[in-house]
Amino acid sequence: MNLSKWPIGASAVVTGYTDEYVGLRLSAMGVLPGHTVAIQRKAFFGGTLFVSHENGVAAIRPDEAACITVQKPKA
Amino acid sequence: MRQIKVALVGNPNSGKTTLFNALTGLQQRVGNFPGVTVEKKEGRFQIGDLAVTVIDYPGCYSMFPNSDDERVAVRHLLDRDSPIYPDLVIYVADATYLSRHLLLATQVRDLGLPVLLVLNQSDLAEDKGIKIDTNRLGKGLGLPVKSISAKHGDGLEEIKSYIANFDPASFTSTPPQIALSADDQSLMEAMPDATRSDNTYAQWLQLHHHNWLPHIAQVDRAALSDLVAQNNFSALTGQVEDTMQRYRTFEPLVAESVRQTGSANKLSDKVDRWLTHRWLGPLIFFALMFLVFQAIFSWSSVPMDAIEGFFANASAWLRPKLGESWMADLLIDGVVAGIGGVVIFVPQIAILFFLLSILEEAGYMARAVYLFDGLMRKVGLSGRSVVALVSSGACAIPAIMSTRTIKHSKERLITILISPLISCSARIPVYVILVAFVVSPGKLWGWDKQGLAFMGLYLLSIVAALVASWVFKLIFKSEERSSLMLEIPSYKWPSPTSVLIQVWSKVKGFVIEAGKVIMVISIVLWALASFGPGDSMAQAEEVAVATAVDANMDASATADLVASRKLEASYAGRLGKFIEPVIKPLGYDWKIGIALLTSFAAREVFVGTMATIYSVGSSDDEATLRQKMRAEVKPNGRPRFDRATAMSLLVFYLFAMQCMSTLAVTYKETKSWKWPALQFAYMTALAYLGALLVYQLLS
Repeated sequence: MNLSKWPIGASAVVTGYTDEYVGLRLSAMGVLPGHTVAIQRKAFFGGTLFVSHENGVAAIRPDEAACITVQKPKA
Repeated sequence: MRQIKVALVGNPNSGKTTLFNALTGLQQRVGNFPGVTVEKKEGRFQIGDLAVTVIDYPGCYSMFPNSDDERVAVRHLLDRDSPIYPDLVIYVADATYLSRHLLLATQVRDLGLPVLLVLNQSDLAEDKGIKIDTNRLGKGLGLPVKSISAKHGDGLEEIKSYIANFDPASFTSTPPQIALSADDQSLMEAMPDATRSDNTYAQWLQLHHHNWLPHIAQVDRAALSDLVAQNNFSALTGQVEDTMQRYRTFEPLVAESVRQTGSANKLSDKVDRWLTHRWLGPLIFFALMFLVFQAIFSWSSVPMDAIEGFFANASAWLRPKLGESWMADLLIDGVVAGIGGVVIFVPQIAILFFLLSILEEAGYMARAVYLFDGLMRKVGLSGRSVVALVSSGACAIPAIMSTRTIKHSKERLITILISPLISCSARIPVYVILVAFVVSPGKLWGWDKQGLAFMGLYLLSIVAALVASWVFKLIFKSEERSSLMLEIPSYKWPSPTSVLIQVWSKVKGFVIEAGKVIMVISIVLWALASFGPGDSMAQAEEVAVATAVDANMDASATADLVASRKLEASYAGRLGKFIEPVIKPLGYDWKIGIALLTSFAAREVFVGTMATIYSVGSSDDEATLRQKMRAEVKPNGRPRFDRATAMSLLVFYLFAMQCMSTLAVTYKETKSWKWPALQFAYMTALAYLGALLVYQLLS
């Protein structure tokens, strides 16, 4: 599953990136495999994602979120 | 005297610039990094016999840059011969999100540079229940660590004394913590001598960035490109691996040294529920911009009236003292009027930048990027263009310079091309003069009517910019990948020092840079309006006096007639008349023609020109410009500045590319004359057609 399809408000754990460019940029911003993320909301225009993660908050486009593979956090 | 160069390095939003301001105060110079138009802030201060130069490096996430700003930081940290290569790096990290700030910190450490790790916003961290064991962290990273709060000035003295006691000669670097693959190892051994370094990490980065690092010679660059191509070297894979490897080393260390008791950012989250709300967010954005513009006009009217009054009094006071001579005229109608024309903008520019920098400092601008990214993409821009478009409300020059954060070259180019369409502060004085002829003063539903008209002009300019952008999107093609991935900083109280320094540097920049142009043009105009070819001025005077005698005019009417005939005979009058046939369909006469021509240098010159044109005549009359313009009549006896002409002029100034400096910056940023030429051509065409349409419909 990738992050763009994840429900709003639910936590997810990043398992990896399907794109190195997106991965390099996100990891430099502190979004890393093994970290928990959650989509807070989506923008009215274009559905840009407002994502909270362990190292802060990031605005990510839907096609970029599609490059982040995620899974359900272990309970 | 001993000297030391200190670089402030850190991620964007680390509070680096707040620390810079706190260390240097007003002892700072803003310029550009050599060879690029990335803003460079350099400041100086002294500790005992040590002269400290501090350079604020552009914010950067890692040694793998992907924008011009970030490249500047990386480039100067890799080039030991650079004039701003530091003796000491002060690495500023945000204590509230420590671990992501350590990536670049460890990279800089591994370049063999002496690094002082400064944990900024330690007060905020404490409030959030974050406790950092700096000793443990420092030991684990192999770096000295200090906790500070740049905003409140806590810990500044400790940093200063660290700098004072730092001895570059006794610093020994630890070997870089980098595990090279066998492939990388053999590639590094094959690198040309000039690109090798005693520091493996620096050399490895030179390999990665060889295609853009300016200090790598052309022949070495070619050799490295061949080397990389022959070995199927994948830069991205290596960079991802380096990043992950670093996180794997310092994340456990952060876990050991940082204890979090409270939960972070409750307040930011709550505020964001409103400010970044799906549809309330954009509405709040527009409401905020509306308030900003209302504030500009209601707060600036008192100081502007005072400035206007001061310069009118100064002229009136000087005139009898200086007597009748062309020198006196030059001083009063050229120099004093010119200075007045510059200073009059200061209140509005100061208020605009005051409010914009508060929004920026508070972290709101990043939210605006998030809110509008989708809309901006539809018209061919990026969410980051919002910052440029909002800055354009002040001045297109910093706006165009701010497009460097837009990585996608087509989105960046379009943002540059359309930025000058957004109404800038230089149009404000033109609007101020002209709106009065279109909308009478007063209130509408409690709002200032002229303020609303201004809002309308700004909205029209925004719509025009978005439409122009959409057209460019259809014309330009690009295969390049577009991305956003933007960090949203936590909200924080703006630092008053940073806001004031920001306002001060913008006002200073305007008064000095734009002021020079306005001043020179003011004097040139005075000359053009005061002299004519041969004895044409004397002849015009003779004819006018004879006409006045025939018509039995009194002394004051005679003086007015003489003044206006002389102006008509002057170089300025001739130039205005020359273009009159072209601008007549827009409702303009030769006097407005002069103003149009001169304001191709800078828009605000319009007001100065009008002032000069109308005060050169009866120089003993110090009535304000607007009254003089109101008194101006067409040959048919109706007011020259009727609603149709004033609207037509407003539309012309709204769209026209009347700013030499903006064209120069566009050239500088695009490195081609093609783009400023296109910018000038499309905007002038838009202005002419728009004004023509408005005048023909209204008159």
